[in-house]
Amino acid sequence: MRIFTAAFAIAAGFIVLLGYFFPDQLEALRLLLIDWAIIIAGMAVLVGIFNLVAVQMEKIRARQKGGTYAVILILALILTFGLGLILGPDHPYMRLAMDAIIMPVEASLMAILAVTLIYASIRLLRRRVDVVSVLFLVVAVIFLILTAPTPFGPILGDSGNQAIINFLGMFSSGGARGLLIGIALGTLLTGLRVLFGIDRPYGGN
Amino acid sequence: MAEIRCPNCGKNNPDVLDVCQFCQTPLKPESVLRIGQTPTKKNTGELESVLPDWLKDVRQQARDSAEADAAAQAAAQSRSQKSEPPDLLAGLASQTGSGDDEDVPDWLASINPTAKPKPSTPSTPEPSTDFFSQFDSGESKPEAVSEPSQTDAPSWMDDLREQSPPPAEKDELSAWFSQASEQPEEIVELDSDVQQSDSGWASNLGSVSTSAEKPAPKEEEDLSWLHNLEAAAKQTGDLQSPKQDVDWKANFEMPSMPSPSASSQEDLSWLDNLGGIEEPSQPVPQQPSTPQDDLSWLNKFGGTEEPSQPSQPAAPQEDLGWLNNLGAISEPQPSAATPNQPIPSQPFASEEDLGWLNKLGRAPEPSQPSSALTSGTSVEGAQEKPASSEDLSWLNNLGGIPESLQSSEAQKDLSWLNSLGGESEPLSTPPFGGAPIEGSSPRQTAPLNKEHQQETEPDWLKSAIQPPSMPAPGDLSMDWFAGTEQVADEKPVAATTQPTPFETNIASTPSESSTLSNQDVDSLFSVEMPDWLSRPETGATESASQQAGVPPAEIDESLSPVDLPSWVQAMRPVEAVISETRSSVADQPTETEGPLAGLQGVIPIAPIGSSRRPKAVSLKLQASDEQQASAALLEQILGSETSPRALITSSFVASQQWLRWALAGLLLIVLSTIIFLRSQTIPVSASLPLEVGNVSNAVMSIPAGAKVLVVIDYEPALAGEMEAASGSLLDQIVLLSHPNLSFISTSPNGAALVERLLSNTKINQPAPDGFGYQAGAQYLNLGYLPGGSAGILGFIEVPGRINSSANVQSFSEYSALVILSDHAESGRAWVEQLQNQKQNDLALTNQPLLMVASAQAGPLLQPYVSSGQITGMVSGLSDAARYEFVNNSRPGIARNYWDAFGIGLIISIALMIVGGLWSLFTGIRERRTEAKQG
Repeated sequence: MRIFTAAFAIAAGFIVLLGYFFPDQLEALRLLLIDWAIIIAGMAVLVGIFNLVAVQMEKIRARQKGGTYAVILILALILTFGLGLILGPDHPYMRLAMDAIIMPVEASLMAILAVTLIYASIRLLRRRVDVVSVLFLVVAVIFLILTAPTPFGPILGDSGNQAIINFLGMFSSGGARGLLIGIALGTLLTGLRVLFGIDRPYGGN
Repeated sequence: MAEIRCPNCGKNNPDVLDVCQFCQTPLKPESVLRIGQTPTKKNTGELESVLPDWLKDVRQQARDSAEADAAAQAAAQSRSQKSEPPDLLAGLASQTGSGDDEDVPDWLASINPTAKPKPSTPSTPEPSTDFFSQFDSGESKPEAVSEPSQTDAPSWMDDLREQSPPPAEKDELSAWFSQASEQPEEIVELDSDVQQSDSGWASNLGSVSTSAEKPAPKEEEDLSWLHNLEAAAKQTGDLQSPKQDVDWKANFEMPSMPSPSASSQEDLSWLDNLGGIEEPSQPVPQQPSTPQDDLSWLNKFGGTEEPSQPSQPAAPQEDLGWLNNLGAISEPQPSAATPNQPIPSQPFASEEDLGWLNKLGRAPEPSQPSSALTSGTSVEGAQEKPASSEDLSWLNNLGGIPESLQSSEAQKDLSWLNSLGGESEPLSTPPFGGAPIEGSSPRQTAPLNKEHQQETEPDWLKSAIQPPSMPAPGDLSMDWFAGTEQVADEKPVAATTQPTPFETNIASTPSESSTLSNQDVDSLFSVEMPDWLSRPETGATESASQQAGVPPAEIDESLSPVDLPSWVQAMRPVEAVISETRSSVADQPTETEGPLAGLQGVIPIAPIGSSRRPKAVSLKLQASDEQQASAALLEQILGSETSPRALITSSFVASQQWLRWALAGLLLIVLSTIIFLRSQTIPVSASLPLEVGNVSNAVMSIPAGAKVLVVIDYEPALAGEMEAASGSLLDQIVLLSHPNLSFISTSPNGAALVERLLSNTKINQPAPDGFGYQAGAQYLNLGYLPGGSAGILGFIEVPGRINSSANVQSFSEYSALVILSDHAESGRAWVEQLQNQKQNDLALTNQPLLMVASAQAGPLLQPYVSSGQITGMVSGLSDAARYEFVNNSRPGIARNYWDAFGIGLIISIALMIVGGLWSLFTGIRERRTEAKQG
């Protein structure tokens, strides 16, 4: 069984890859396999939801800590899912649920993040006083000062601010490119390992 | 016998049976034993007749064997009852057995007249047949015949008995014999092998024929013949001196002479001849066929050749002096002992000379010369005697008694018996000391080295008196650690002292003397002593000398230094202790009584309550102050391990709570006020960044009524920022092109954010406030696009295949692609997949890709902007405000947030600066305090 799964996965990967080089011969098969991947990915969302329900149900059955929240979660899930299936996602009630519950909750969490970051920056020098922490804090303050709108306008003027932003952006851009290249290379290596059967994320190792 | 018919099988059975012997059915009703009944006891002998034949045979055989075993056991029992020393003549008795009666001479058989009984007569207990038992005064003691040959008593013995005087009077000989008989009786058995070997010499006797003898009178023999012999000897007076040259052989012929006396009276003249005593001539039956020189060979054993003598009338002269010579010291025999000359008997009759008996049991003398090891030497030594003077002195040598000693100690010398008791009293002369004996030496285990003559104590006793190598447990004196030099030096001193068996000689004797003693021991026991036992203690002197600081031995010792093993040396105490405990042996008195008599310093004198008492040792652990401090510290550490550690974090937790609350409140209040007041005091810059200007240019190029794909890949948490940033762009696109918008999302929540976005941007608001876009008409919500990159690829390649709601056939039908993303992964995926498709489809080359990203995703997507893969990007609220400013402040969401955004940033910056400085200051102060405390 393990050999079958590995063989199928490797074959599918090679077909999709070769489909780019041989579109006339493998275009249709590649598109078919991609369609199947999209469908399976869509079903994976439902599987995730089902797993969530199962975990919460187990928590409720075992009377673990947080079982009450698990009950609320499952009830809300069932209600929202049911109403969505019945009314449709564009129904005003569904919008009400989105606008009145989901959006405020997540927005509040992001606001707390802002307070937490300010508090962390304030206590940074109390926990550790070293060059890196001081430099980080100094750079952050400078950047905020340069970009923060003031009633008086940009502190260094538009050109000055822009120059400083471009200067600081140079470092950020370089770092960002490095990250992107690394991500790309990692993605390529992971694909090759899956194609060669070295890694089997689908199981059967 | 009556029979009972079996009710089951119908066969007849004896009436004595209870069950049928064929079918095992109970024959009698009463034979059936029921529960609770008591079985009736019957005589099993009644059932004897009904036993099967094979069982009867077995039982008979068992009876027979039992009887035979009982007879043999009785014979052996009588034989085993005697625990006396082995009978030297026991082997002779067995020679007369094995049925070869013709070869066994009568005289030999007569030696053990009380032979063991025949096995066929088990009922008769086998009488004692040892030599001494013959002398038993019990006349009625039956005499069993050990061998069939012995049953035929020699005729001459019968004649002796006839001629022997009646044992009426109880004389000294009888007394002596009675004393001898007190010893455990021992059956004298003649070995059959010896019998066979002696058949030759026995044939020389000739005259003695035992076959003619009758066993019946033999069994009736008793010791009366011995008494007769004694009486006869007294008559003749021959018991005073031993006869040396006696033709005892003639006396053996005497039994051939008919004896007028009763058969019970035995002529013991032959016994006199054994001891050199001429028996009184008595009419003894003479063997008609007895040769004249048949017993001369016996004289040869004694070193004398006595011519064969006819029957001699010396019977009356027989005495028992020869008996004395058997064990007594051989008296100087007359040089010429003619046959038939009565041998002067030793004063046995009068003085009960039993010295020869003493010699028989006496231990070998260590002072004897070395030529006394083998028995052959004794024989040889006997041969050295003058033929005339010592005819039968060899018999004396049987007892291992040197002749020189016989003369002086013939008189009841039983002192050796005393020495066997191990008396400790010093003897005037050592038991086995004395002048070295020269000449012939009997069989004795004398040491080879003549130097040992000077030693007084015997070797076998020397080992007992030899002091141990290790001192006694109670011996506190460390003198035994002393060097062996002093031990060796003092040995000559000890040698001159009175030798006592309990002399505590610590050190061993010198090697030479030890060798001698070991040799004596070896010769004594005639066994090969192991090396470790016989090895002299060599190197003892060296080990003693190596012992540094060992005080010399203070007591007298005669032992060689001991080579102490390493572990013993390690146990030696400190010199100081030794020096303290060392006592002056010379100062201590010499013991005068008890087992330590003659010794000095064995038990050191320690007066009661004196300073010699060992120091009292405190039971408390002696620990120094440092050790006690360490122990206390260890105890403290161990105690702290189990005790819970108190956590002091309340102050820390309280300051964090108040600070957070303060920050949150400050920001909330300030920002809420600014928003509520709709303040627009903070100016917006009119200069657009480059990437923002490209966006504006790209929007200007979108044709009217085109299809634009809008990808919503942000979460509800950043919806406010994204709506503020994308509002102005979408407003401009809709305002300029009135395109058909298609909304799609790669996240499940994106599809639900489409309406919110259109509402906030007032696109789907009715005119005059909005653009009045209708769902399904002007805009489409394509929903969720699963599969991540695969889904994007599939949608880009064939939009209608992946999403049937899409109203395009190819992706190139979209005039523009607007991606709204709050994370770089989604934007990167769209950029990468679209770039690949642009290579295949040239129509996608001019398709602008507009990106609206949050402030956190903008830097990561900047490279794509710099590379031209992204046409233009609006990043964060600052770019949005500028873009909105250029767009105539439509819709105005960004402008509303701008003041609050600015104020909030200012407050944050202020808090970060002030708070950081404060934290820095407090941190330094705390570290200084901790450093001072530490």
